[in-house]
Amino acid sequence: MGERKDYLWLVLVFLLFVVALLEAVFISLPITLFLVIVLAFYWEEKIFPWAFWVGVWRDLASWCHLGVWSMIFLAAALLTIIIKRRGLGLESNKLSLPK
Amino acid sequence: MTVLLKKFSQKRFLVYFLFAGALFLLDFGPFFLSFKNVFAKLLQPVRLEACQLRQFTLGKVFYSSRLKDQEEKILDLEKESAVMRGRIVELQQIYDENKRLRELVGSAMTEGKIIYQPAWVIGHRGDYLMVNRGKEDGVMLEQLVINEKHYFVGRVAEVFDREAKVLVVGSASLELPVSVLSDWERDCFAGAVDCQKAKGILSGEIIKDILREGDIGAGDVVTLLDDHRGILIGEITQVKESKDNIFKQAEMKSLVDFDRLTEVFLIN
Repeated sequence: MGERKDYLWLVLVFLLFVVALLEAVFISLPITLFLVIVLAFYWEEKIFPWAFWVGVWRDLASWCHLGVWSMIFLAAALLTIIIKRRGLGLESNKLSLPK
Repeated sequence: MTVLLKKFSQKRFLVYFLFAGALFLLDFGPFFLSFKNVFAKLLQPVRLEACQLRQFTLGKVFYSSRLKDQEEKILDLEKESAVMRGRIVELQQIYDENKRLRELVGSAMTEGKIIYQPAWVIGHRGDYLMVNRGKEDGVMLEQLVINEKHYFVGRVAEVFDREAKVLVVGSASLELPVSVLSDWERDCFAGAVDCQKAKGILSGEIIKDILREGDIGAGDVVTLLDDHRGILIGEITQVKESKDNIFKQAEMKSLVDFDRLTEVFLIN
């Protein structure tokens, strides 16, 4: 069961990178940002490293200035976590996906 | 500061955000340029695929049969359009021909004096035109050729069985005795008023042997000498004095637009 959860985590991270690549070269909709927000809602602090690296990947793929999308994704993730905890009044880790 | 950081629960966020900021600032320099170039080259095939995918719309998948029908219809319509365009050109040619013939019929100066034999211009090279009338049609040497506006085109220089070669006005080989008339008034050509200013020999585009007494100038018209059929040759553009102090010369411009000449009339 635990292996299955790890597999899910890996799939989601892989999906995040694939979506970022698609957004950079093909689709103009901010789907990566949406995915980062959704994952931040469940993963909370654990999203930060992935938000950072996906941002770098996104910048490289779209030949943008490095660090821009990392900051955007990190800010969006933080905002999501703050809204979740304070705005919605949900307790930490209550709805997060299993590790 | 430490208190603030302790209060701030998202330390990891701050670390990554600062790292991203540093990356942002460093990217203003040339540090990551080579790395970015390599990455861009690696992604080039993906970008090409994406370009091709953009052209492949979902409509082509779900409505392929319908689209095929529409494309066939478009092809049919394009064919029909090409045929119709050809028909329009054909009708325009008939219309132009009709207009020219009507102008010719309406020419009051030539009533009952000239027998017209229409001919198509089938070639134009150098000083010569080829027309589609020859010996079989009764064409003779030295026959004059005019256009629908009654302007002098040239003279038949050689006759074949079904074609004839016409030496055009402006050619140095064509020498004609000509009159220079004062203006375009119709009475001049009808012989009602004597408008003749001078006489000369047309060779190429130069009228030679004009007596000095002849008061000619730019704008005067040139016609065939002693010909009352109202055939105009050209218009004087410039008058020059000659060295012998007896004669003078004039430059003339033909009235025929040879680039648009498609029909001519051989006259008797």
